[in-house]
Amino acid sequence: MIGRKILSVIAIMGLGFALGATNVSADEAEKRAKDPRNKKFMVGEKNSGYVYMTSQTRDMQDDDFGNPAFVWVDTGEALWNKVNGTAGKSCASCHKSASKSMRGVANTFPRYDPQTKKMIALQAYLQRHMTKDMGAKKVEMGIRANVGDGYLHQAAISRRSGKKHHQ
Amino acid sequence: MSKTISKAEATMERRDVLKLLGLGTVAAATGSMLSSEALATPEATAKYLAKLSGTSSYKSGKISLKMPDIAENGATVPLTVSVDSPMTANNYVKSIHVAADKNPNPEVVSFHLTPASGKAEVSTRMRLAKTQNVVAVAVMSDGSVHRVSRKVKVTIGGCGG
Amino acid sequence: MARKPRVKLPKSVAKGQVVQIKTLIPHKMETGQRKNKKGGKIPRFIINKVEATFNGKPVVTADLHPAVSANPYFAFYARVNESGTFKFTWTDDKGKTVTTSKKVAVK
Repeated sequence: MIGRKILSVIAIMGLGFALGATNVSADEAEKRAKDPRNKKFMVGEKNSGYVYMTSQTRDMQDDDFGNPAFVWVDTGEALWNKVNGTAGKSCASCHKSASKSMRGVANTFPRYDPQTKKMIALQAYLQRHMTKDMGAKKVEMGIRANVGDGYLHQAAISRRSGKKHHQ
Repeated sequence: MSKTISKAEATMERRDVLKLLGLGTVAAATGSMLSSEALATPEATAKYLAKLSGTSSYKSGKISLKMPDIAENGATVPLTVSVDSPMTANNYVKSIHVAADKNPNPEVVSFHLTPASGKAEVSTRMRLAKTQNVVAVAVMSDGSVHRVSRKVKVTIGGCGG
Repeated sequence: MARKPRVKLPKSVAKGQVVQIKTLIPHKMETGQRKNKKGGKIPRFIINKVEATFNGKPVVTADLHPAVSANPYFAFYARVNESGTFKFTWTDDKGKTVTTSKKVAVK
């Protein structure tokens, strides 16, 4: 749940919108924190920035068509289904539908990795997994590499809104 | 397994995602982008619109501009311009021009409509460098021009400032 | 240019109906204001025009400037009197174009 939200929030809000920063007044902010509809975006004392967004920004984020992050989610979906590597498999071959099998996965990273005995980020984890288990060539992650980002974003889908975003 | 993510994780993802989307590490790269650049002025903006619309004598009432009062992110501020018009072959909106009076340049976007548009309403997202007025004019098929202006507060500018 | 554009519009409409069309194309829309690490200016590179036609006839054209946000999003309207094809063309500063088409049926 939070994985997709974070992705979309970051995509829409840009560098300037630090978690918790808001243009809403203090009274309004308090009112929103108390609104029961915001319960699912709050964990204890911690609130998603979504709680404090103005309605126009929320609309931009919630619109699967207009939220530009979904262009990359779509790329990721295409890559998810594409065969890659000497094993002749795609991600889907083992993991089937990402929206089911990968739900909530992205936001468990970075996490402790028993193999290396260190913290591992999602990108590094994918690189290891794909090269080792799929026989994929060294997968590039990063801004210039469409491939890596695509996988990253597909793995980051923890919840699709269910709305069809284009026909 | 925690469902929240730490600021460090968010920063790492955020940086990658932003670069992807071209929103860029703008603020990180430079903080002084605007200080050495001249910005548009209300006078230059008025001149620009007068040139496009062919007049500086404007009517009001038929054109409206919908924008947030406060832009949470100056890099992408939604706007919708609506013009009350039947959009028939004899009576339609020919063009809608949008300008901003304190951006690096006043011009934002110009729409050219036809009767086939059916409804004179257009939406897009724009960049605002700082708090300023956004001005929209609509040129009608009979030559009359309508104007509307809206002040939008910007706390985090969309040009890296 | 960047990636594939997206267009949202209904597949079938009533004759004479005015429908809203939404478009989005991924693009940096480099303003020409930003500076690189060495202090030089990153040159402007944007999509400067978006055109929509229906069965070959113009519906809406937009001239874009750097003040339009990255990943330009447009929504506009079109009156549909007959079945046919909408064609959308995006043009960048280098003159390169990207097009996509969508069919509409009149019930």
